[in-house]
Amino acid sequence: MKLWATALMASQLFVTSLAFAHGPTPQKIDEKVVIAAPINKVWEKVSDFNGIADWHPMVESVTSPEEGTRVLKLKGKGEITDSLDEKDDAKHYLSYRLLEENIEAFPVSFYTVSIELSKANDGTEMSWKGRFYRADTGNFPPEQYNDESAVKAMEAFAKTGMASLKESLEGMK
Amino acid sequence: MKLRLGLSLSLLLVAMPLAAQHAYISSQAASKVTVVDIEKQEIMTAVDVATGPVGVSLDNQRHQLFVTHPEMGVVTMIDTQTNKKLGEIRTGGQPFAVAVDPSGKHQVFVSDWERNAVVVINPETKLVVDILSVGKNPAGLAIDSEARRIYVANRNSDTLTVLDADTPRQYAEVKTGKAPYAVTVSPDGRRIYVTAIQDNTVTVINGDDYKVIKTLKAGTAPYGIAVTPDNQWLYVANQGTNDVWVFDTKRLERVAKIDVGEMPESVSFTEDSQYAYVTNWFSNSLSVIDTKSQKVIKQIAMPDGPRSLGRFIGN
Repeated sequence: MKLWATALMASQLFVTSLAFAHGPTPQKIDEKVVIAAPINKVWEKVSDFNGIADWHPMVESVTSPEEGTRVLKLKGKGEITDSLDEKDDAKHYLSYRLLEENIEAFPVSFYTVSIELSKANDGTEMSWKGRFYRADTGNFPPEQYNDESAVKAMEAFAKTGMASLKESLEGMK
Repeated sequence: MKLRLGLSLSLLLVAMPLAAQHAYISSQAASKVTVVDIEKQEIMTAVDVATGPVGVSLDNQRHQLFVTHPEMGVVTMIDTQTNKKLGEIRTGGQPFAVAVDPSGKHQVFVSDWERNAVVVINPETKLVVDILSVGKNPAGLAIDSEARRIYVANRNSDTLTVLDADTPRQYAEVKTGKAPYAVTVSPDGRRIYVTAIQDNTVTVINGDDYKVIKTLKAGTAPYGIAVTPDNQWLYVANQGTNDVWVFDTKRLERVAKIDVGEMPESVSFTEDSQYAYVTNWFSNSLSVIDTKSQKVIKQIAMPDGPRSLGRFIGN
């Protein structure tokens, strides 16, 4: 009886720490790019939640264990898992969150990201916003797990993805 | 001469409203506390503070503001009559939410995210006088001064801890939604409301026996929560849907949805229940809502990363 209770407690603790291992002070990124392509063309790519490997050079492959969940294999690194929060075709709006972190592969313990498209003069403006927490949320993080490393990783992922999408869509004209 | 005296007297009366109210907004990235004049609905001044201010609480009797700095393990004390720093209190750990005891007793309660505790400070001596054990990663915290109870939302235990405000005693640990964040008590103390970020709910708890009355569906990632001082409306700020949901507290049903700025974090009311102020963490602004028309009537730009977890409007 006692052993059973202990095992149950241990398993609960394990699940809890996996799911919400983040601290009290979030950081943000706010990236934008204008793509010379119609909004529907851009949305077609962006809204395909499991299709990100098609246009993001840092993502090697994607598997989807269930609807609304995607496991990203990062190029030369390990896996992280995202969970879809909202997809609004009318607003061209997509938001998702990090479900399972892997700080060796990506030095962020938790993030929420929203991507939104709007019509611009010469095509489509793509906005990529993120709220996130560094890998080590204690008050004395090592350099590779601090706020600066987290911001760098989030910025690089957004910028690289948008630049590559822009290049491929504009090249298709 | 007589006429002029009479005129200047009446001018004085006009210039001295009963109790001037202010909103105190902590900007986490800018390390500032911005003071907003409620009557004018504009910024009065800003106070430079230590890195990463988050939680705030006001002592309206002693004219003091307390601000937490999770990254620094300190709480800043500010004199709200001069808007000058009175000093810093070293708590250690990661002080997150804060609540002043409004009874006049010299105690301030602070949730400590890292040490799974509530730290009790004596603001007169600026010393930690007690550390009470609670659930994992406590976030929001509220006090019911009359009932002498402290309510603590344990983010990573999915529970609310009920503590005594005077003695180290725990009354209950109540199951909430997934990842509870902010907590507020109704003005009559009869109800406790807790937001849960991960399952998008508000748990409504009976203040007499700590039983769950109802679970309300909120927008995506509900953060801040507050009840109007007249106890009529419950406001919930949803970070994922960039809006505030308004519930009727009698029927516990949603009556309005108000779009605010991006990633709203905290909500507080003016004393007359006429206006709600909402901090928008991502878009760096403060939304002013008219509670009668249920519309945003003004957006005030704020320094980077406005949060102000807690009740941030006072004298």
